[in-house]
Amino acid sequence: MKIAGAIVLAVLLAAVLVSGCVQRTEGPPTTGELTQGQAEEQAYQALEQEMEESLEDMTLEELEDELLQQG
Amino acid sequence: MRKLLTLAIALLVIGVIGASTMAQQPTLISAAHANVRTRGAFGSGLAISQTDPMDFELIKVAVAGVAVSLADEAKVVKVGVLHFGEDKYRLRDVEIGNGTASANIYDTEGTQVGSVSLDSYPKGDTEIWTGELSLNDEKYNAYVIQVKRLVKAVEKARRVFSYCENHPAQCLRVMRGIGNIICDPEAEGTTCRERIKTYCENNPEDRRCIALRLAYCRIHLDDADCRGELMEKCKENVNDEACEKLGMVYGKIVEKKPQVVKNAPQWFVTVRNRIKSKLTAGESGG
Repeated sequence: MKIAGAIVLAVLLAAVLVSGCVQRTEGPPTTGELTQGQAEEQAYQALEQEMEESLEDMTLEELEDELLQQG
Repeated sequence: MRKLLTLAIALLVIGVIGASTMAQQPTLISAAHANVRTRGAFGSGLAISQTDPMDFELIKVAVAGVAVSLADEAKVVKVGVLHFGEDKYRLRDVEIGNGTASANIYDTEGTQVGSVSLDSYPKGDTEIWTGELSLNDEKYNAYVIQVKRLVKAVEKARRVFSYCENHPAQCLRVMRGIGNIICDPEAEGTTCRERIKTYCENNPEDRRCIALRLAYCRIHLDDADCRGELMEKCKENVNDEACEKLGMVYGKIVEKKPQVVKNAPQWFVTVRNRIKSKLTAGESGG
C-alpha cells in the first residue's frame, strides 16, 4: 500500500515538473533579441529600484521644510 | 510491482533533471542590463485637488529614459512610475523634453486611469516641477522637488565617452581649450575614446574631464541631472555659455507661468535679464 502511494506521488511530482519545463519554453524568444515588452519590464524594474534607493519616504513636515527652504 | 516502482523512480529522476536543467538556463530577461540614462521628473511632492485644497496626497514621481542592453543589443525606453499615497502606477507614453515631462498613467491591470504633465523651473538650489495630474477623474495640481542624483564615476565617464564618440572634433577642441589633450579622438577613434573614458573614470575631477562632461550636458538639456550640473556651474560663473541655454529652457516655462520667477536664483534672474536685453536690442535693431 505504501509503495503504491509512493508511486502515485512520484508520478504526480514528475508530471508537475515536466509540465513546468514545457511551459518555460513558451517564455522569451531564443533569438537573443529583447522584445519591446521585455525591455520595458527591465526598465520599470531598474527605475523602481532607483526610486527606492533615491526617494526615501518623506513626512509632510519634511516636505514642508524642504519647500520652505527652496521658497 | 517492482517494474512500476522502477518506472516511477525513472519518471521522478527525469523530472528533477529536467527542472534543474531549465533552472540553470538564464532567461533573456535576467541576462539583460538596465541603467537609467536620462532623468526627467524624479522626486517627491504633493498632489492637491483642484476643487478641494484639503484633498491632497503625497506623491513620488520617476520619469526616465532607461538603456536596456543584452549582449550587443541596446534599447533606450522611456518609462515612469507614480506613487500616489500607497497606490502605485506605471507611466507610459512618456515624453521627456527640455524641462518638461508628460505621460499617461496606468494601473496594475494595465488600464489607463489618468495622465500627468509637468514643467520644471529653478527655485533656490534645485528644480521644482509643477503641473497637472489627473487620476481617476479627479484633477490635481502637482508639485515635485527634483532629487539630486549622485552620479557615479563610471556614469560620468560614460557621458564623456558618448560626447567624444558623437562629437570628436568638439571633444578635441574642449580638451585643447583646457590644456594638453588626453589623446586625439579624431585621429585615433575608438582607442582614444576608450582611453579618455578610462582616464576620466579614474580622474573624474580632472579639468578636462569636467569640461567634457559640461560639454555633454550643454547638448543634453532634457536630462535633469545635466541641468542640475549646469545650474551649479552658472552659480559659479553666470557668463558660462551654458547659462544662456539653460536660461532659455527655463524662460519658456516662465512665459507660461510668470509667477514662478518669484524666488528664482540670482543666476537665472541675471541670465533672463540678459536674454531680454538681447531680444530688445534685436527688435530695435530691426
